[in-house]
Amino acid sequence: MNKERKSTSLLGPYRVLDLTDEKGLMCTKMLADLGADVIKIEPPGGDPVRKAGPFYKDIPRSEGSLQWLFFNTGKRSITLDIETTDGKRLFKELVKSADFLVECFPPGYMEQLGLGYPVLSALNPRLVMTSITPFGQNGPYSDYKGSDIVGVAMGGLMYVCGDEDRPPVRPGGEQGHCQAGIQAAMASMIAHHYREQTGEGQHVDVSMQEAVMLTMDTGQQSWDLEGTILKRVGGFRDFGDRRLPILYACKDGHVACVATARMGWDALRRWMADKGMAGDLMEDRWGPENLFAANSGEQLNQEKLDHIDAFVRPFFATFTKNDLYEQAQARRIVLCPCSTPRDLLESPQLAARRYFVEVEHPEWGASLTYPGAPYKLSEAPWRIWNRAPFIGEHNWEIYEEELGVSGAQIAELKRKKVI
Amino acid sequence: MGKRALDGIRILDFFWGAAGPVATRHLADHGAQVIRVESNYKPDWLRNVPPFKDGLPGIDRSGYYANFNSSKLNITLNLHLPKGVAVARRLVAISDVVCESFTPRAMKKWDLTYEDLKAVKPDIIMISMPQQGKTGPHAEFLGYGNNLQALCGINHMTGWPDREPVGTGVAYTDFSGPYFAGTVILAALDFRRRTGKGQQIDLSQLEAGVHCIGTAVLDCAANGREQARMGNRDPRAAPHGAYRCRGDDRWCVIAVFTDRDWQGFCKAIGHPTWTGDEKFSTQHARKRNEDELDRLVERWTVERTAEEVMGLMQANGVAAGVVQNARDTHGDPHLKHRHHYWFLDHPEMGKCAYDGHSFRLSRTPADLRPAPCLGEHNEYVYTHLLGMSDGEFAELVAEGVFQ
Repeated sequence: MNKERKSTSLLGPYRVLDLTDEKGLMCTKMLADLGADVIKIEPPGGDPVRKAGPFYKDIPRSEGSLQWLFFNTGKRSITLDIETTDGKRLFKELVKSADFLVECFPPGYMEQLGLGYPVLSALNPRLVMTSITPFGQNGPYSDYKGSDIVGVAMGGLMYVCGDEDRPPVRPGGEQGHCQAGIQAAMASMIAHHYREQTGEGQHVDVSMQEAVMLTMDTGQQSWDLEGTILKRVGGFRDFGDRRLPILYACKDGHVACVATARMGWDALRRWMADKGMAGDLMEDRWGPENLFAANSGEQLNQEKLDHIDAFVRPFFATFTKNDLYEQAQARRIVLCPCSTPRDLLESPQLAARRYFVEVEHPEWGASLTYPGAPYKLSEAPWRIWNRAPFIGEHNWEIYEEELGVSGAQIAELKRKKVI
Repeated sequence: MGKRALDGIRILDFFWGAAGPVATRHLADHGAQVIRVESNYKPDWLRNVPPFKDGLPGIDRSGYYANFNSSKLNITLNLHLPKGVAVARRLVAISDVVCESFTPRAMKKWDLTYEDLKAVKPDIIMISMPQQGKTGPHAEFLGYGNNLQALCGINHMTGWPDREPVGTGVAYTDFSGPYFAGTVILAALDFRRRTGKGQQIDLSQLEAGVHCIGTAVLDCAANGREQARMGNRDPRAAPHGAYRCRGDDRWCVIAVFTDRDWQGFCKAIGHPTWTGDEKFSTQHARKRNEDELDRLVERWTVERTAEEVMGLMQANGVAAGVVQNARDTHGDPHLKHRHHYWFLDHPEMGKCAYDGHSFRLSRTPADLRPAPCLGEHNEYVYTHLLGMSDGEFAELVAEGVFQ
C-alpha cells in the first residue's frame, strides 16, 4: 500500500472491503479516490460488471469493460467465494482489520451466510457496514428485485422526465445507481465520524428508491402543499401553474437557457434587437421593470412566456453551441450548451482546470483519459492512484503478505475455487 | 432523543439556493449545528419560489426552501457593514466548517478569503460549490441546476433516439453535487483530526456532475463514440422499458436481463403462445425483435393497473416498478413503513412533509427539525453561542448589523 497515499490523502488510513455491484460502485470509488484502501472482493472468475460493455476498443475483455475501469480506479482486487467455509473464514479475517464494508446483496443474504452485521460487528465493533439495496433492508418491498430503471421509476424521478406525448423516460447514465452510490458514500462518512469519536461502528441501510426520491426537487412539496402533480414536459421545467422553456435547438446541437431569468433578460432582448429578431420585445411592457414584480413570488405567466419563446427560439437557432455559449455568457445570460461527451473532453474550462487525467494502462501500452477530481483540495491530493485492478491482482499481497496464508494454501484454495 | 452522529460539529453556512443547502441539511439532520446566514435585504432566493403553503407566497412559506433546510439555525447578518463582517469573523472563530458561495469580489471586499479565515482560525475547513469551479475561463459564467445538468452531459443522454434531448425534469445537479460535498466535508474533518490541518475545498458542480456519466466519457475518450439517447432501452435487457397500464398516464417499468428473468416474466403473464416463438427464445433474439416484443408486452400491461403489473412481475422474480408520481410516493406503503416522509410542525407553514433520507444509521438515526424562519435564531446564536451581552446585541440590532 502506497505510503504517500496512506499519509497524505484524506482517507489514507482506512480500509474498505468492497462487495458492491452497480448500486455501490460509485460509493467505493469516491472513497478510493479520496485515498482509502479499497479492496474489491470478486468471485473467482471475476466480477459480473467486467462483462458489461462498452469495452476498450470494443474488444470484450475482463479488464476492458469501461464501466469497470471507471468505477474501480484506485482499488485493489482479491478473489474470494464467501459462500464457502474457507471463504467465510478468510472474509472474517479481513473484516477484523477493516474500517468499512460496503455490500449490495439482497436483504438477508449476508445473514444467511452467517456474515450479517451482528456477527461482523462482534468481530470488529468499529466496523461501519453499509448495505445498499433497491428498497432498503425492511418493508413490504424489501425483497423486490431492483434495477436502475425500477429505482428511478419507484423513486419518482422518471415520472417527470421525457416528452409529454411519449412514455416517461429514464435519465441517461444510470442515475438510480449513481444516486444510491453517492448518497451511500456520504452516509458511510457520517457513520465514520461517529465511529472515530466513540469507537462504535454501525449498520448503514441505504435504499436506492429513497435515494432517487431526493432528486424529485419540488415534486413532493408541490403535492403536499398545493395538491399539484408535476408532469413531464420535455425540454421545459414544470412549476405547476406554468412551464418554463429550457432547451433550445441550435445549428450544431442544443443549449439550455433560462431566457427569462431576471439577470440576463434585458441583455438578451437587446441582443435579439441588434439582429432584428426581437419582434415587439423591446416595448416597455417587456422590459425588466414591468416583467418582473419586485422581489416577490409573482412570476411570468404562461402566455407571456410563450410569447417570448416564439422569438427566442429562432434566434438561438442561428448560432452554433459554443458561439452562443460564449456570447450569451459575455452578456450575463444564463445559458450553456447541452454537452456531448466530446464537448466535455474538449471543454476549455475543464482543460484549464486540468480536470481530465491520463491513467496508464501498461498492459495495452496506452493511457486512457478519465474524469478527474470532483473536488480540488488545498492540503491533500485527490488522485487516481492506480488503474482499476485485474481479477485477483492483489491476491498475493493480501493473502500471503498480509494474512500469512502460505503459497501452498493459496494453491489449494484456488483449486477448490475459494479464490 | 439519543446520540446523534455529528454532535459537536459546527458549520457556518453561507450557501444558498439548492445544491449547497441540500448538502448541509443532511449534516444538520444528523446532529451537526448548521448556522445558515442570510439577510433581510437579500434572503435566499429560494424562499420566493413556489410551491408555497396553500399556494400563498411568503418569506417563510416556501416548501422549496423548507425541504432543503431542515434542522438548521438561521441568522440574519449585514455584511455590507464593517461591524457585520466583524461578527462573521467571530462566527468563523467558533466554527469547524465554513460553506461559502460569495463572488470573488465580495470575498475580497469583506476580507473573507481562505487566507483571511485562516488568520482567524488556522484549521478552518472552507468549502465552496461554484458551478464550474473557482478558476478557469468559465469560472464566472452563470448557471442554475436546470441548465447545469445539460452542461454536464446528462441531457444529451436522456430522451428518445428520434427526438431532441430532454432534461430530467428536475434541477438534477442540485442533487448530485451535494453528496460529493457531504462526503468531502466529513473526510476533511477527519483529516483535520489526524493532522491538525484545515482545508480549502473547491467543488465544481460541473466536475462532480461529469462523474455521473463517467462511463460515457470514457467511451468517447477510448473509442471516439458519443453515446446516444436510448429511450428506455438497455443493451443487456429485453423487455426493458415503461409499459402503459390502465388509467390516465399510468406506467410500469419491467426489466428482463437473464433467461431466468424471462421465464419468470412468461409465467407472470400466463405463458401466452407468442412467448414460445423462436423470435423471443433467447436474449439475443429478444433484442433483435424488441419493437415487436414491446408491443406484445404492452398489450398485456394495458389491461392491468401499474400496481398489478408490478405485483405479478415481482412475485415471479422479475424487476418491475410503478412509475410513481408525488401522490403515489406519498401513498406508497413501503415508504410509509420506512418512515421516509417526516411531517414537521413549522411556525408559519404548519404541519408539512419533509423528505427524510435514503439511509438509516442503526445506532445514531437522524432527527429532523423544521426549517427555520428568517433570522429565527439571531438572539440564540449571537448572545448564547457568540456570547454577546444583551447590551451589545441590542446596540448592533439598532445599528442594522443584523439586518
